[in-house]
Amino acid sequence: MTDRVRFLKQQMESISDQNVFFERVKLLLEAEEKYRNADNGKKYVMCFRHMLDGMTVAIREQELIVGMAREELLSEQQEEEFARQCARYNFKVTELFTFDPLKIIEITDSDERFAPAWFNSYGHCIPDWEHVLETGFYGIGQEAERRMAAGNLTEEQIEFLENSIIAANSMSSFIARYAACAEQESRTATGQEKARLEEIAEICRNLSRGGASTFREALQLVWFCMLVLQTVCGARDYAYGRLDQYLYPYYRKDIREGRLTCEKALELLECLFIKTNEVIGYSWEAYKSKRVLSVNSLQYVILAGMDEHGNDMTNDVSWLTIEAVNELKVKQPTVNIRYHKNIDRAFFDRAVEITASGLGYPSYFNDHVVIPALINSGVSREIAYDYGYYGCNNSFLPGHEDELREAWHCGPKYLEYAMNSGACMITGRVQGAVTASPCKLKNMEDLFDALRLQMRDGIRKTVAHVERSDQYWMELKPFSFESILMTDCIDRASSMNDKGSLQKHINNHFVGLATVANSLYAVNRLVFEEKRFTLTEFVELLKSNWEGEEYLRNYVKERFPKFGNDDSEVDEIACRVARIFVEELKKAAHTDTGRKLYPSIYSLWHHREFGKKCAASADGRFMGEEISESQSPVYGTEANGPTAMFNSVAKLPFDQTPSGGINVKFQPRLFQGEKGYRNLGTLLEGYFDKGGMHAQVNVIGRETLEDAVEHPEKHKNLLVRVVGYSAYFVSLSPEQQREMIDRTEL
Amino acid sequence: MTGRIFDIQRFSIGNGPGVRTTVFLKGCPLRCKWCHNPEALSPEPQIKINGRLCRKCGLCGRVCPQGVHVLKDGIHTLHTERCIGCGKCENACCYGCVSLIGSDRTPEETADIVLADRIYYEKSGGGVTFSGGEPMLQYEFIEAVAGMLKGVSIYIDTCGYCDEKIFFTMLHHMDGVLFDLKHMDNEKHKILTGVGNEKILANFAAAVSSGIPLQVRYPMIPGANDDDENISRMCALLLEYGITHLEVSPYHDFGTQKYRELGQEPHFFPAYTQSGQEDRLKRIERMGIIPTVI
Repeated sequence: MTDRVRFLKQQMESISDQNVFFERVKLLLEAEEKYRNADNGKKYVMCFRHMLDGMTVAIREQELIVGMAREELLSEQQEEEFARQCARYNFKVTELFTFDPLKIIEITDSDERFAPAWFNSYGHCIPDWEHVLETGFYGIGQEAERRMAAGNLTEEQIEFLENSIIAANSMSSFIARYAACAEQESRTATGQEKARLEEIAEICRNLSRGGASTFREALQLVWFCMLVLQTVCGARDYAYGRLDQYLYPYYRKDIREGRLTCEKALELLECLFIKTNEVIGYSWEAYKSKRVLSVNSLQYVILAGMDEHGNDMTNDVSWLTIEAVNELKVKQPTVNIRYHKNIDRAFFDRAVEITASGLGYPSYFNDHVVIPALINSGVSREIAYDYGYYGCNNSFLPGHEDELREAWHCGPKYLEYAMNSGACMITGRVQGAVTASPCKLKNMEDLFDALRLQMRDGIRKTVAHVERSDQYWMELKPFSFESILMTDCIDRASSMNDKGSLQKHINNHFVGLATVANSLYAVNRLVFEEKRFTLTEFVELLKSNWEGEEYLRNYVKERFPKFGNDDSEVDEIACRVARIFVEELKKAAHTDTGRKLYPSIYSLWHHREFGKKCAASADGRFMGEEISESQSPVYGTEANGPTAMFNSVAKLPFDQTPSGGINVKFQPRLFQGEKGYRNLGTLLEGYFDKGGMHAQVNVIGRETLEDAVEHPEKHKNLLVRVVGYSAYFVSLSPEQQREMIDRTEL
Repeated sequence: MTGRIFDIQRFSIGNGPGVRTTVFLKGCPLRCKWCHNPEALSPEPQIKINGRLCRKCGLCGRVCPQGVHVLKDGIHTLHTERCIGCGKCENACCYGCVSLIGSDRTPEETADIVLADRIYYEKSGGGVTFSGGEPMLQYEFIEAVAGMLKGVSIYIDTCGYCDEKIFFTMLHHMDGVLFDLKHMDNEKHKILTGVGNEKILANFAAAVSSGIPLQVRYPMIPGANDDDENISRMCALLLEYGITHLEVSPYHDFGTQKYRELGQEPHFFPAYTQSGQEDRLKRIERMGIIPTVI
């Protein structure tokens, strides 16, 4: 780490989470007033221009990559005003982008968002970075003008192109303001400082007139975009995408022509990554999170991968990226690696070493599964090979889509409805499809049929909702800044929300799969095989929350086979449930707004809220308890170690699910020793060879171990490294557990 | 034909190269005073209770035909001498607290479990390790399982106390051996482990001359086998055989809880201090052997 980078990192870490980008509010309200009679698209772009023309432009000490949003600590009066404006103008977007078709949980926006309806963004996308860097904003403006001149356009299309020109020119002017600022400051500077400012001025001048020509210009242009997207448009989870792919040509040219060394390149990349953290808030899930629209944004980078011929795409910039994040150890970016069988072994080895050291990333996606999943969901081959991810394991084809759309399908709730004629077992209200009553379900086939119908119903509701949402956005936001960053919007003269993007999708996340599988196994055994209850009686027992059957509940919970232990019977049930979901989505095909329906097995954190609204489940779970998370086994039921767990999960139909993922927890000591990290590589490669899709490896710290002491039943699968062997933490004596905790570094 | 197994641990590291599955066989001819796997010693099935998961419901006591389980003053204890290994208590317990250690598995069942993780062995140069207890006591079972594991690396973790002809035959089925050396002096070996070391040293020589990949392990026990003389003799033997590396397993008391869970009392040795342990390791190094602490 150079001294400069160390300094910039310290500066970034001292930015207070109390600060607010207050001038954004002022500028947007001014613009709203001025352009109140303009129609939606024009109003948006004039607000955009007004912001870029008016927001403070400043260059900080020692920066090499410039561009910032001026934040301030608010006075009491300003606080009041800010709160008032947020309450008044908080346009609740969440329900339109991310929602629950069964409406059993509430997904809400924070109240401290200044997100007015006339100037709104949801983020969650990946621009066509390659194109943006090559063309620059001046070039993008020219593209729009050429398209306009080519004619054959509707009125709406003309308006879109006019707005595109204004937006592109606004960006050029904004970048020119930085050039002017640097130039002015350079006049009174001397020596090295003068040189630094003059260089910044030249770079910004170039970028205000065209695309990037050098590695540093490329990084700078990427940052100007990211800055504006996050702080001006105001949203989070914009991704860097395949950073190593689009930066590499610039890097290679500079190195060959002697303009750049790899040490300098590392420093520049680290400057960009530090910038990344300036706008997202410092503390994770802090008590009072930073009041900025990009708070806690996940800035995904995705590296390596293979091309259509199976060639490995790892390059020097891939290496620089992992070394940079490993050196900086800051909150973002989140680095992901596209694994494939021919990946550069040394690169993969190094990445695994970093992950095993406890950084929490890189995470890994498996090309051999994700690419077929995209193709199976209707994406063309060529585009599928260029896939990226952003935010929370959300698949995205850079430049070809719009913003996030996702629906959360609560699996255990579908099963509840299937067993109870479509009615919630807690409230009795019919919320699902009215399927046969439990006395009419004579065997497991009948139950699976009813479950299928419940899923079909939830999917139908999803499609209806997202079609409404799409219509809404087409009218509300016929223009957005993001659109001119996408591949086809200017050529098609339409916004990404409308006809501009051709590969839009909605993620259909299936939540609680392991809970459903374990429950179906239990129903089959207790009701249809052992005939201990009729299904009707068993449903009543679940409705009563296992009343009077504490012994049975524990027996089912402890002794019945569970998904995640490489047991073929219960694993097959999980696969069957997932396949039914995939089939039903295929039947629904796509929305009438052209949006593909991607299947996914994923929960984010919704397994907790869903759990609260689910009745007792047949796997021994009480009403209100958490259901299973993402692709994982039910918490605490893994008894056969990580290889068995990965074997189970790998059986799921991931070649159909482009989105989703799994978090796995290990204690770092399992991978200790000179080449101990290779054990992690073994697990990942074995898992991927068997059909696994993704893995994020979390290193657990003291709190988890402390919790395991208090609640051993919740941590039965927690594997730790004892002297010379691995053992389950809960099997150690209190003294040994204490010693293990004391020895945990993190 | 079945094998009596008390654990199959997947994702074992440190029991031979790579990621392995360790099959722990029940029964051992030795009674090492520091043993941290007491459930491995008797070849018979035994009851084990996890005190922390026990809810004191008393169900195990009610189904037990022999009166093994006693719940008194909120404490669950065992009359292990009465146990006939019927397993009724394990079946009855719904909190995962009672286990019958030692179940009989066929070679096919065992091979199936081992083969389930084949891909991880391939990626890491791993395989299966037979351990225990003393796996050689069930050598026929191991032979049968090995025959079903074509292409999988097979290691055996042995104390070497075994008929020499059997040992020699088994070497041909193995891809590697983990061999313990506990004490070089026959009399002291008898006091510490219950048996002398002549057979052990003879089998050790046989392993060396067979050329099989060999990893020597030294359980280092304070005051018992870590004096200068024993270390010297042991290192001299290794050097004679051309062995330069030694895996050292310094005494730890992580197994003592297991004794209590089996209703037994453990034997304690003083723990090593950091400097005490380092001093012993240096002694080994000065003899020209490279120690690795495992």
